[in-house]
Amino acid sequence: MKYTRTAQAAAIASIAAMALSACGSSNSGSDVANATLDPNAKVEISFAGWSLNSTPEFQTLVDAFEKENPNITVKIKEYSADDYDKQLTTDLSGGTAPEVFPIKNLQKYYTYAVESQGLADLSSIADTYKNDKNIDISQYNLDGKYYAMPYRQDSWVLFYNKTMFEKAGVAIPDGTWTWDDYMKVAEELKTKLPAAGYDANSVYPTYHHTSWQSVTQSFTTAQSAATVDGAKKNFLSGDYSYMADMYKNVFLKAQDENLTVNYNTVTANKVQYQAQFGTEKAAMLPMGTWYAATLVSQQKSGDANKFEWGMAPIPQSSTVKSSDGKPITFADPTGLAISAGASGDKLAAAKKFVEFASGEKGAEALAAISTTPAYFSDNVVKTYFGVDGMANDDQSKKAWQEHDTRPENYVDKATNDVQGILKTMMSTIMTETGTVDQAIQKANDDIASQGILK
Amino acid sequence: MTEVASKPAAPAKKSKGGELTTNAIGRRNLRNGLLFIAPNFIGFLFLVLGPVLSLFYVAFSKWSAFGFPQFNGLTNWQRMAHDSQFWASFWQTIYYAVVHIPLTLILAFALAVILNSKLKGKAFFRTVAFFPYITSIVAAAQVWNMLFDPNAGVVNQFIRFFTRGWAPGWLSTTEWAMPAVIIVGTWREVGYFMILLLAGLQTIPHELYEAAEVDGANGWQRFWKITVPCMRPTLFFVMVTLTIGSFKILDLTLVMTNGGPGTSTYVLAQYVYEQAFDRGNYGYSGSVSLVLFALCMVVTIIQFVYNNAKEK
Repeated sequence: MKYTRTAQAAAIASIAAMALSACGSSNSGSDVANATLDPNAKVEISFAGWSLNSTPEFQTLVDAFEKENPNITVKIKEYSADDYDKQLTTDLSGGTAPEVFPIKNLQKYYTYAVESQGLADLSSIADTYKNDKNIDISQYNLDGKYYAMPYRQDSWVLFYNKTMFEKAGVAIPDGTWTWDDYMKVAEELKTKLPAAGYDANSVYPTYHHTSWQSVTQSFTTAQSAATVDGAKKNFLSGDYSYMADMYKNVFLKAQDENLTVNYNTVTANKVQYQAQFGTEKAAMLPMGTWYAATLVSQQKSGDANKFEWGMAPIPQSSTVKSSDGKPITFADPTGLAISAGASGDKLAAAKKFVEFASGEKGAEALAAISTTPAYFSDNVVKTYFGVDGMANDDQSKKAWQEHDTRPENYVDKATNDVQGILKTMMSTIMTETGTVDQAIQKANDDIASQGILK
Repeated sequence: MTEVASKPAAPAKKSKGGELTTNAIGRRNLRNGLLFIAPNFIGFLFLVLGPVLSLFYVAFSKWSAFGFPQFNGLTNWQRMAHDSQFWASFWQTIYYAVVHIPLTLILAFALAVILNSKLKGKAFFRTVAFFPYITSIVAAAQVWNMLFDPNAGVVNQFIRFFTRGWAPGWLSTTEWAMPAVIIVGTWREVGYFMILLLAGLQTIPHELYEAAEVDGANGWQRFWKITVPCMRPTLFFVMVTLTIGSFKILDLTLVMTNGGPGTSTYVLAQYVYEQAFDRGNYGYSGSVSLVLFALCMVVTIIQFVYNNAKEK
């Protein structure tokens, strides 16, 4: 009897302890706007990064920053690249997050900013960059407030292998392609590549990395409206019939006509896009600009073949044009946030660091290691394309610098769940276990019946 | 626990006459018992029991791991009823269990019986059968993925030999991915259960078989009338652990297919993980894991009831 009562008490105590630890820190409202740094004080702040050995961007930013601010030391705390968000969630929930930490993409931004209350309001930093044409900070706008500032802004472009195009005698992308043009060229390559001596069984005109949901969906959503607000509205409309055409005419068609490796093979064999394009198994590759740095280094190390390549704007919808005339593409920014728990000199130093990383100097440091920064001034473009081995034709420069980039994850409380259901829809379509229209209808029904958008 | 507590250990308070009072014995036994189980039980309490009990609240709440879970009644459950991915993973889990359990049990039992007979090189074959169980699952999955390659894989080259060119697409088709996972799952676990069954077989007295033989029972009759009844306790244990293990399947599908192609090998445990850690729906994830818990519980209770009835 006594024993069971003790056990009960202990069980209740353990639940209470867990509940308490779950409460974590609450936003005490760090006053970023009024934080000022004592110029003589030595300050050390911590900064989260992942896979430091293979991801030099964190150390590069820190080195460049410390050079300018000798009184501030930035200590990098290493996280796992794959489990970054899980580890950060734990740290934020326990109130042990570093002073400055990256927001890897926009999928969890809403959760962190609104639900965790662990992020300081950075609107005062945002004010300095709001009207700067070289940087777009709008993706972090949450009802007029900003909880992160971008330091990297990749965007999806069309990589193409100039050497293969020339050998096959096909005209390279001219920057005006629609998806129809893209498909026509892929079909042309399909017949002409084998004639140019490429193995018809293993070499494809293009490669769609369908392990990622974004490849088949984010272009479609981004290009569904003239403005980013319109695209966001479509994404959160609960009706995904606007995706049907792109699935039927581009992604399914490419798979059915053997213009790319099919979805089942890509997912089952864990096909690497780097190997596919780098070893000339595909003449085109829609991919984020981060791949440029990988390609440059793999061509140097011999992991990729030596060939000439370039970047072209991603093919566009034939009906919808961007309101500013630039090609519409997508990619989430990578941003930096400051912990709501930071205060005093540490807060001031953290603010300085974030300002630096988003600005031109941080951007130049990143561009020098072929990482696409968020700040695109002429100097930054020059630095980026000055790297040995980088494509440096005018079209590549234009594709890299000028675009109307929309988010992969529109910031909203329902984003996570909508993406989850669209992922199921995509796998039904791409495994061809259901028709496009059936799968879309199912996704619409699921979203409605589960009450996700309520 | 009562077993431990009933063992006499340290001396307890004595009454004036030098004899132990009933109360003192009870207290002493309780104290010693608790001390003995403490190292294990404290860990169990905080790391398993506490979280599991809190699950019964979390499953009825909305929680993003920040702040306190907000009670939301049956919302999660209504959502689950309409959630096609949940149902897909539910049926796939059942599919895996329903095929994997009998297949593993039959093969393990057959192997155990064969390796219990007078066979040359018994020790060698026992080791070989046990080997997959101690192999790293990630390494084994990689090798199997290569063997199952639809074009270049050894498995299909072998099959084509008999079928004039036709062969299943295995991991790259939605129909054959789950059978492939089941084959690997069975291959991995058969050795472990074989060892358990082998140990059970060796406890059956030889006299029973000799007597049966004298009475003229054939091999089949001896198997059903002697081996199976004598093995009931072992078989029961094997069935229960095998069942629970099958419903909780995750590692294999994760490394072999990551739930794909499509959702053809997506199982409940992976959905629990995805909802919690990828999508941040800790509340809803709790509801799904409660379903998994109930599934294991119900099947195990049925097995207990059946076993008790048979033993009477």
